[in-house]
Amino acid sequence: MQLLSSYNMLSLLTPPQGAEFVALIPGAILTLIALLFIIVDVFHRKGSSRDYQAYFAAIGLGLTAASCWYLWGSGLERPAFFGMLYFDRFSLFFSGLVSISGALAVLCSPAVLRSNQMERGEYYLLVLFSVIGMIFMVAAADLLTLFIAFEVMSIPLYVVAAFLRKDERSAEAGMKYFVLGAFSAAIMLYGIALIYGATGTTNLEYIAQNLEFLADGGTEHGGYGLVMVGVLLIFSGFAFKAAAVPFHLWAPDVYTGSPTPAVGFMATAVKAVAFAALVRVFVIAFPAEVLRGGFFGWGWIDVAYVLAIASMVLGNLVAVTQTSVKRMLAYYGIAHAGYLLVGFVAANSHPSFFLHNDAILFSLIAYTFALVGTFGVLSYFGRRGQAVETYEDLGSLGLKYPKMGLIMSICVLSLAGVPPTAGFLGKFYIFRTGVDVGLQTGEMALIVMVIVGVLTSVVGAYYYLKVLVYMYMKPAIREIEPLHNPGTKWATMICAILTIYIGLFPAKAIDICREAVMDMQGVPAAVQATIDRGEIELERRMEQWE
Amino acid sequence: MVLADYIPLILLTLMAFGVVVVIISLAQFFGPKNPTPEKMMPYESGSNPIGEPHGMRFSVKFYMVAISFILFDLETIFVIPWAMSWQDSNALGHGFYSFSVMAIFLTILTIGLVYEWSQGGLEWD
Repeated sequence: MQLLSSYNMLSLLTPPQGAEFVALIPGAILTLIALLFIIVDVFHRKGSSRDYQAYFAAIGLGLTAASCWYLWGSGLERPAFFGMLYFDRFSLFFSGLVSISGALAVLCSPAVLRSNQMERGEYYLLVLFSVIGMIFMVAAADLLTLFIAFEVMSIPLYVVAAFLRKDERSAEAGMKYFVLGAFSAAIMLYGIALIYGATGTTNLEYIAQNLEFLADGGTEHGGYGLVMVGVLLIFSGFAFKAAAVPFHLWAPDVYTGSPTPAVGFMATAVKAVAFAALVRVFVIAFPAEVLRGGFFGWGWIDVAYVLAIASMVLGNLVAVTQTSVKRMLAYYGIAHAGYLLVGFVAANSHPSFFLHNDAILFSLIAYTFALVGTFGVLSYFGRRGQAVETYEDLGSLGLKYPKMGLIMSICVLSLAGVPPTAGFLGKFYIFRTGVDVGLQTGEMALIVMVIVGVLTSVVGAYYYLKVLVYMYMKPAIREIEPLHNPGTKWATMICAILTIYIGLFPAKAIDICREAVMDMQGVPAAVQATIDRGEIELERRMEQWE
Repeated sequence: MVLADYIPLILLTLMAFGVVVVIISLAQFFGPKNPTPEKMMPYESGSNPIGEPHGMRFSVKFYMVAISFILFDLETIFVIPWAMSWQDSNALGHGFYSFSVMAIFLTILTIGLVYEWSQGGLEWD
């Protein structure tokens, strides 16, 4: 049997089918908006307000999210453009989520930039470009498409991190993010190169087929160890973007130095995309079953397991000792990567639990709205020189600004996982997934992981309640003049309302997550069988309901 | 491997050397000479290549030139293979498709150029 290759000379000269171009729509809309934005920025009159640019970018991102909603029913069975892009509900879900996250973040931005004397159109442009990269990254069906999209996503974010160039800490953030990010990209690219060397292709589905071939042939073909190293290198690239221990060291400094509203976007959208690509690549190309035991008796699932526990423990414990609110949120971000990895490990340990991946998606929705809202409120009190940094700075802000205080409380409670917010359900689904899978397979390790998760989230409640205590029960230590920005008020209000709404009426959001997971294209036969069983189960339940 | 196959390659190498030797020696014998210190420096994009590597500073303007270079360099890299294979594509009946793909690419690059121009990237001072 020959190793399969996706390279076809004739395909380079024949245009794709007309129907395939639908796969480009969300990305193309945003690209057009970004190009239009350049023209608008070029003809901007110097000295006039740039607030309209924030609305322009937000409307563009909103249109993209709307197009994802509109295209929900029209997926493609095969990857478009000769095996380059998947167009299914899974990619549409994440395209929509990151667009919304970006839109909410840019709405919060103009006053912060003006206060730092860095009001420039490029900021919005960079966010738009980054979202374009994310949209293509979640749809990638080929490791090279994935890597290019990964860089299109990352490079603008390095610049955004360093955008407040008059601020030393922002420059530090940009530098750290850039150097470490470039390393992680190189490590991932090396992994891709090793995979290509071992399997002869970069296409995800062909990699899976060739891996089975390598597994059948035993190790005398060589290359199996190469595959394991490649898989681990690719995994560490994603873990870096998701800020999981031990690839988390950049997160606290970058989150502290970057422009506050942009952090909300960087922390949520990048994490969402990293997990989307992680699920896509590892489910399609590197099935846990095939690769189990290939690496000194361990598989990547064991590596993810260790990372999950380490992230939850370290993230939550270090967050307790922080005095800066932004640093605390950064360490919570690390812990949240751990929670998501719990879901990832449980759902992907065996093909028959694939449908449990919807817990990751739901948790990401909850996390996105709560964190963007929190950083939005912090940016509202982010006037240069007076910005809220420590817990003490939050003193009695909740009493002085009741609306913002309420929004902050809702978002913070959601992050802490207190009912009836979306964050509670997000954590609940993640842990339930772990327990379900653990009970069905009899793997005590999964149960232990969930126990660690629950105990550490109790720790998390401590430092989140501390925010509330300072906001409502401690005196103010200094006068803080807020940045009056209507966009921030609207964006944070949307975040708070959605956090409560999804917490109270989660059915719609759960349906969307489930549909997104069930519609994932290109999965191996064992996973497809699980999806088919799930669909039959769902229909049966619907009939019973009626 | 037949050695005769490499004769064109050897000829090309010899000609390349020959042309360089001829041009430099012609300039040596017939060219006017009024040297200035700048002209006597080895060519290194305008900065002095001899000396301490750490203390050397050069103008940030060179980066702008480098960025413009990338813009046009990329354009060349993609346009030339496209022009070479457009005939094949047209023969298969996909000429208009190939043309419009390149038109989109060039439009995006042109918008980049417009942006650079408006930001003063094409002015030296």
